Amino acid sequence: MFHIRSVAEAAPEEDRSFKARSSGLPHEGCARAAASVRRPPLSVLRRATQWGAVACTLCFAVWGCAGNQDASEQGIPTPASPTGPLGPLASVPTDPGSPPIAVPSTPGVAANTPLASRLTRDQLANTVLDVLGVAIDPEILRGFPAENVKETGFVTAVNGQAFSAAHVLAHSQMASSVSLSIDPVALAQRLAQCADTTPACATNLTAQLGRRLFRRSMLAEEQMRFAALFTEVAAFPGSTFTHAARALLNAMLQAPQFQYKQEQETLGTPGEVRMTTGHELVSRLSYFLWQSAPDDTLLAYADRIAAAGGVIDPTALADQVLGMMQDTSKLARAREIFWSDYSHASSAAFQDAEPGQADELRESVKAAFGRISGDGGPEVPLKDIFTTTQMVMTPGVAKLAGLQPLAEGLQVYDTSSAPQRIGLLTHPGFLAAIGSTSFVGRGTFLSERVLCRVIVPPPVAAIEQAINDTATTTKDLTPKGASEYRLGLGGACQGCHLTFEPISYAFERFDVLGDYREKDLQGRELSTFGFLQDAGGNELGKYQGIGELMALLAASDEVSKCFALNMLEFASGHSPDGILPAIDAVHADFIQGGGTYSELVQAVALSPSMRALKVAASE
Amino acid sequence: MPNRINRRQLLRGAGSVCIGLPLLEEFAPVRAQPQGALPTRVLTLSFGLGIDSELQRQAFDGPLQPFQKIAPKAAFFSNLKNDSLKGNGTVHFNNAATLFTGRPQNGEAQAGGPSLEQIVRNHLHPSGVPTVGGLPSISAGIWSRTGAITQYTRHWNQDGSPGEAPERRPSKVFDRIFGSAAAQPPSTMNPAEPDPDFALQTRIKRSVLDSVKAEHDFLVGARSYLGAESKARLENHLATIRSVETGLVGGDQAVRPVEGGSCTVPESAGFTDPAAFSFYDAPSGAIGGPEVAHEAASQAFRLSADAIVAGLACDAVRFASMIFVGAGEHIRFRGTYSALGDSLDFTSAFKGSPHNEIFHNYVQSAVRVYQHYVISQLGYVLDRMDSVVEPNGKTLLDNTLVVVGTEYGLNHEGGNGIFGAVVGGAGKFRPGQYDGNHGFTDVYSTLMRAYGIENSGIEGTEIPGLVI
Repeated sequence: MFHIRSVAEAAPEEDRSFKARSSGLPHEGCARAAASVRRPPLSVLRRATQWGAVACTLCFAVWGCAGNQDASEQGIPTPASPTGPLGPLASVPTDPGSPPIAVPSTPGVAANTPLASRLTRDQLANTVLDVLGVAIDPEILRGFPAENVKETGFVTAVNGQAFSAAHVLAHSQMASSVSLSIDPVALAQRLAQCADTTPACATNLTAQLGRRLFRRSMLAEEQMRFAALFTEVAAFPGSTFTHAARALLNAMLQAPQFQYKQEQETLGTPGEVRMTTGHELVSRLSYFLWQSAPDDTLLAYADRIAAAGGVIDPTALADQVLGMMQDTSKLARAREIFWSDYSHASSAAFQDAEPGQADELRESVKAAFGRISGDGGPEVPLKDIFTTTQMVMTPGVAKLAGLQPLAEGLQVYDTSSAPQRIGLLTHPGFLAAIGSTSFVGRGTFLSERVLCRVIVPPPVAAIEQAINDTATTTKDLTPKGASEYRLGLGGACQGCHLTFEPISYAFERFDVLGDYREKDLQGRELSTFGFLQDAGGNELGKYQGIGELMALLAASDEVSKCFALNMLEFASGHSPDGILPAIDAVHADFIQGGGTYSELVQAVALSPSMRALKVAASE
Repeated sequence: MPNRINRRQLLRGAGSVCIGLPLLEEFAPVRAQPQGALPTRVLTLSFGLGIDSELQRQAFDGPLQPFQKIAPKAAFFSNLKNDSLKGNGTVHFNNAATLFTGRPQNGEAQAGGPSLEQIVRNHLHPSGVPTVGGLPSISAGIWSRTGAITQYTRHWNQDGSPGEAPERRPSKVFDRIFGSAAAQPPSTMNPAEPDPDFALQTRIKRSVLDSVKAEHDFLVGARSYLGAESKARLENHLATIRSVETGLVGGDQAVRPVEGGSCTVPESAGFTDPAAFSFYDAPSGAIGGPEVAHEAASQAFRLSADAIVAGLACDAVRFASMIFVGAGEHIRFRGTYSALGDSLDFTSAFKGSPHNEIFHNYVQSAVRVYQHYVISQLGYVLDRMDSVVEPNGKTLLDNTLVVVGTEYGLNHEGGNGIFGAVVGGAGKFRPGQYDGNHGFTDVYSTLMRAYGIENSGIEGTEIPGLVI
């Protein structure tokens, strides 16, 4: 079971001391219009405030240890005043090369050790679109190798990210095409109020571009290197400002600071947990909620955190998160990816589907889950996933579900008239994505995905022995009969298989594409009776039919905690092992807030684990 | 409204900072095929689900029959062990991670180090492989199962992170090696008006690339704010950039091979992908077992093999890995396959998958025929290589190091009795049968030392008599 520790427990009083150091100047960025946003649930605010009690006692420097020194101190032209997206910001914080500072540790907070994480294909496309206003050509995007997605994983996973020459070449091609497509003069005028090859313009344009593309203020030495590139190219015979600006953008788009989400991993004492800087926080939030880079409002918020000595005001943070959630179009990107991976629609081959049917199944199941979270319908609690009879489908998928097709395209169907079609786990697209009808195949997927249980691989010899020993006895039984017979024998297999096979008994009447039938090819009646056990082997209840299983799942604490765990994994990109202690608090906020997708996103975004990291060793 | 640009615009992009392949290939002069010593080439061939000791002993009367033709050039290992490399997870996950790496896996999605062909590549060409197109390596094959990345990935980077997943589509394998325009008749090529800005563009590209490398250098260096693991990730990225530097900068580097001698660039039109494989474009395979006619899978694999063999002969690629079904594979092949005086109706035999039906339930007679089908695919690659005569009078197979491997020996038992082979190897190895109690690590470290790599990171004992 999950081991949970509350936030209050996680931050003992004696650890709240710190050694303050702040050499920065305050920045007045563009404050988000907090007054217009919905207030967070009290539970969320309460926890945020609890954490804030800790956070407010902490002080740490921003990027580059003391990165909020005003740019003008380094002779860097400072834009006049903040404006909207792609407009200039109040100032350009840079690293003056200060010595390392003491970073307060926060023992007890569940945190992962960060790892440089390559932007996924979607994150890359979103970032370029949002920051530069350029849509990467789909043909170029397709040149990026597909991400590794484990059957029960999320595309955001940090571990297992493949890397090869194909990535380098695709990224190079993308950078070239994007830098070609922009109007360098207009971009520079907007960002830096200049479009010439003077050193001042080079420096300011570099800083402004870098700030947005690297999601933080540039280090002084980075800024010098990129400005030097600009100047070098501008000095080539025949070269112009356009050449230099495009070269600068091209190089920045290929730079590891852009391609990878990075944090100051070694700032602090290795092994200890520290809070994120403001820029680390807004980058985490934006790639979680929007699958894209922070906008100017968030960057300005990060500047304010830096200016406040690293203090994260809980109310301000909640306002930022709620403000981000008002951007429904950006929020929809993350929602679609989450549900695509959750339902396995993103990577399933639908190999048993007819040509063309796979896309219908994929789009239908994505839309069905999306609707639960408010896309095309009222947002409802996530537990309704198990009980809803409102499913989005195409006409072709509706036929598979035994329903009369409605109009073309994705439509909402009432499935209450169809037998056993209760909850989205019975959606043909969901079942087809699993791609297996065996109790083991479906059972392991459902157990891992819906219940977050870890299925330990068995000793294969034992399986073979069991199958061989029972082959004769079970050869005339239905698959369920054979399964029950084997489980009834006890032994090594029973304990584990009981935790995942019985959940799939309810689905025996659905074929691999989710088509419903009551008898198998031999004319034998297929059963929908079963039972559910918890991970410890205790029976949670018996069910007769899919509806009763779904009711058990909808009422299960384990299931709703699993949503929290999945969302934490999606948000962080890490296996949840390192942040398990955060689950209870996130779960409590999620449920207390109403149990919806939005509440879950909000609870994770405001979780202390989202603003803590375990310091890595440099070697 | 966002700007939308495409590849065609790129090609027209005068005044641009244009980087990448194969965008500039029409602009580039063609380099002569390298003369003198032949390049070092390494190919790994893997298959799933293993062959047990008894079937191995049947030699060419058993599933290994397709290797009979090349036997005089091969060292066969019938009793390899990898006990010392075992890790966590299923045998499919952890054994497959040790295949060609000789090191225990480092987490579910991470090997313990680079694969053999990457070790050699990095040793010989740390700054880029001087092939005509700068392609550092390629991975291709037929696979589906994705319970773990180790099941299908055979290219492991220096830091043990996964490299490219094997490409399933022969057309893409061809394009990666030769470029989509390479085999088009001149009349259909983009006329590619000379770029008056060409010299400036080339200079800019070099500056941009130097800038990008400098940022990597900074982040992997002493002043970096990254931890050791992230640094290793970026070091691998930097090494990969260096390995394709020629292609990134373009300029006066050639990107098209010159035909002649042993090099014949195949017609791209011949690389139409056979059949509508449902898993061709699935992002990472599928949970279930896709159904594929065995002839279609064979055709697809062999087309990819043709492209790779031609690429090796034309010096368009020097390091490659091919896979015919992954570890613990579930592809449900269809149709009847006959061999060894026996036949197996895959369709009826594999209601579930070969994995479940004949390996979990171990039906040796069926495994014998099934693995003959699998080995015949790998045998095709070797035979094709042996049909290409190179300037030194020996065949491409003679001149290339080919390492064959699989995940285990007897049905899901990972510890010992594992089949392996070393073929070709430029005369460095003594053909024959090696039945001693050798480990993966012994074979791999012996191979690497024979290629002058003492610090491969693979800890093993030299196999007596293997190196000539």
